[in-house]
Amino acid sequence: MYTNRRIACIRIPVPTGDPAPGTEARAALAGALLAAAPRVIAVREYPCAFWADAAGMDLLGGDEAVARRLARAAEEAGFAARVGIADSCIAAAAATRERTHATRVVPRGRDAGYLLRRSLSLLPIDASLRGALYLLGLRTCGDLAALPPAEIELRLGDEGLRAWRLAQGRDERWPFRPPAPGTAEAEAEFEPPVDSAEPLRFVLPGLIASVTAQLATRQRIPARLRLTLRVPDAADDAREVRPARPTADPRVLADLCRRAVEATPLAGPLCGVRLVAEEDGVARADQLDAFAAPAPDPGALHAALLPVFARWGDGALSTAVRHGAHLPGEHAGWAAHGSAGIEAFTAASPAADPPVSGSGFRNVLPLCLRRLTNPVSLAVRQDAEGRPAGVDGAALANALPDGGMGTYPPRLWKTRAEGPERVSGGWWARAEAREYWRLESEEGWLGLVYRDAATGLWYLEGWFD
Amino acid sequence: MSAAIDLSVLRARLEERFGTAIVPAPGQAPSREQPGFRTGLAALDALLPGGVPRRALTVWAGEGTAGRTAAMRALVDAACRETRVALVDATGTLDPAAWCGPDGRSRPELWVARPPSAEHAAEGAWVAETMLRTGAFGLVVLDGPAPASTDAHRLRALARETDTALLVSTGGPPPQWRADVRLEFRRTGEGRVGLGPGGRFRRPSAIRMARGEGARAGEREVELVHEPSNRLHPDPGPDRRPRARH
Repeated sequence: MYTNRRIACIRIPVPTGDPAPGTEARAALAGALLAAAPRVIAVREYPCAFWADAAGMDLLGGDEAVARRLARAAEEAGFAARVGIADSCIAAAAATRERTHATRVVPRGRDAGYLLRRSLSLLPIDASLRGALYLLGLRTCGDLAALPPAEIELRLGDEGLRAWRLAQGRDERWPFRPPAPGTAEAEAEFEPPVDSAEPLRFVLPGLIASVTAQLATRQRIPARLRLTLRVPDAADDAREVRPARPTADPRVLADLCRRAVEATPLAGPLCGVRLVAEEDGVARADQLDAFAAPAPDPGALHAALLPVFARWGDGALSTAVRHGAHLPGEHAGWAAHGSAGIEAFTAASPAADPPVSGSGFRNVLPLCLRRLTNPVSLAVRQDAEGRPAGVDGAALANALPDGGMGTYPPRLWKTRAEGPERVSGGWWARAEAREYWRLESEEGWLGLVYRDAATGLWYLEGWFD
Repeated sequence: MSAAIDLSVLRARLEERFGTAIVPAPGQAPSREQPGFRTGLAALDALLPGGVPRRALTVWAGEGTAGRTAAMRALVDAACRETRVALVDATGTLDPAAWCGPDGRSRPELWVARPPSAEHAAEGAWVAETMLRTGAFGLVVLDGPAPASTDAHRLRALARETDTALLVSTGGPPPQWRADVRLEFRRTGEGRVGLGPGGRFRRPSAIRMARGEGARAGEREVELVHEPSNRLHPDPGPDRRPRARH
């Protein structure tokens, strides 16, 4: 049960005849208000009003402080707002009608007393019922609340009874869902729905600031974020954001959320967005790393390199790993870690090894093999002993586009060959038997080729550089 | 005693005890000369006394089997002892065996970015640019096709802004756009056989350096001798078969 309700109403007084703020301006206002309250929802059919959840703010200065923060946030967004805080929606809305106060807090449990002198026009009731109450001479909520409920029900039916309850401050309406335990939530709604995700640019930082602030009061930082985009007449569009490691950096989280939103187009107009942060029991202990060497923040690195991971997949972060098989292509491989490897990478400390002091190789360099992803078929002329004596370089040049890999011998060339080195095995999967040769062109180009023992065909495996 | 003085005293005591482990306060760090990255190869380091410089774009170009990749590996291996290194293997042709250390893995400070297929090779410049922007790497190596001139201009500016050494290692002739340092690798001793019995390959190569665009003055040559392993794998493991001979 969601107890201890407190709600704030934020109203932007718009002079009669002036246009209401546009969609983008309202989104900006909603985003700004999120800095002061975790949940901000547009009041339906009132483009200049918002509800904000003001419950659980005792440690943050209480209702007065929340009201001031909301007013200040609206002011920073360019609006002079009036803020009312109460236990019920009806009393909070009434509080914003007080023109003498920019902020008005109705004490807890005093909604009924506060509404006694307020106009009946505050009540969200049908126009015909409002007219009937006026003809009965009722002008204030107190007038209506003083009547016996049985008489109200007899004469005005259920609708009248509902108005009577509202007049007493017994407002069943509550626009917010109860937060799940162990999480921090923030949400905002758009009224009317917006056609593009552009207004999220204003709202996301506010949502993130709100959830991180909630978790910070518990000395926690978000481990995962779940972003739910609400589209009218469609299922909720949920997207998960997983930083490389728990981080409270709002810039990183905002970047990740923005990319998550842009990853897939929306199914329709956007009417609301909800952000749930799971703390996952991760304590905030960064400030204790006083003597750690400066290292890049894994979360920031992840966010910055997210487009690379999106385009190049897990191979965007790879390390070489030796497996020990005999075939060159299987002897070692590139282990693609993906973004999961970022934290280990940043944990590595380059300062652990002393810098090398020159002349490490004394002018003798071990050549590096460069391997083609898929060996290329090669036309090889063999001598009487079966040794490669010449290679058709023209065919090779046609088969291999030179993508910055260096030049290949361009024509038919004689070769000096060294080999073979026979490699066989893998009978349990696909039996391989190869003869590996090193071939040197007359110009000094050194390649690694092999002859498949089963087919007798020659392939270029790579070259040394 | 004011809080600021307290803090300075505390900092001085910490520095006295822990030395360079204490990170200087922002704005108070002495301006340190950031040297470039040396390869550990005597001939090449003699050519580049300050190493591959930070805040600059260096181009290594050259034909195949001229030792460009071997020099690049030496540079990366040495630089990993000082900083984090990003290596963009845009063509996806680097053999992982050459990059494994004694423990069977590449150095933990080395980040290798490899595309999913050869069609993505042209995106190498964009990936290198993204790596540069993070500011997390002291050395970024783009191995693959040379970027277009506009991309190169942007990469050069980014290297300068982020205090990063950027190396573009590409095959073929050196690109025409402006670079701070250019090295060209080429095979020498043409007509001389390099491949010997047992798969040994010893032959000089040349590294020609020209600083600045089109500068032929200051051109120098050094000799390198390559000595690949005489087996496919330097550490063949439990393979006890006799070597086949013809």
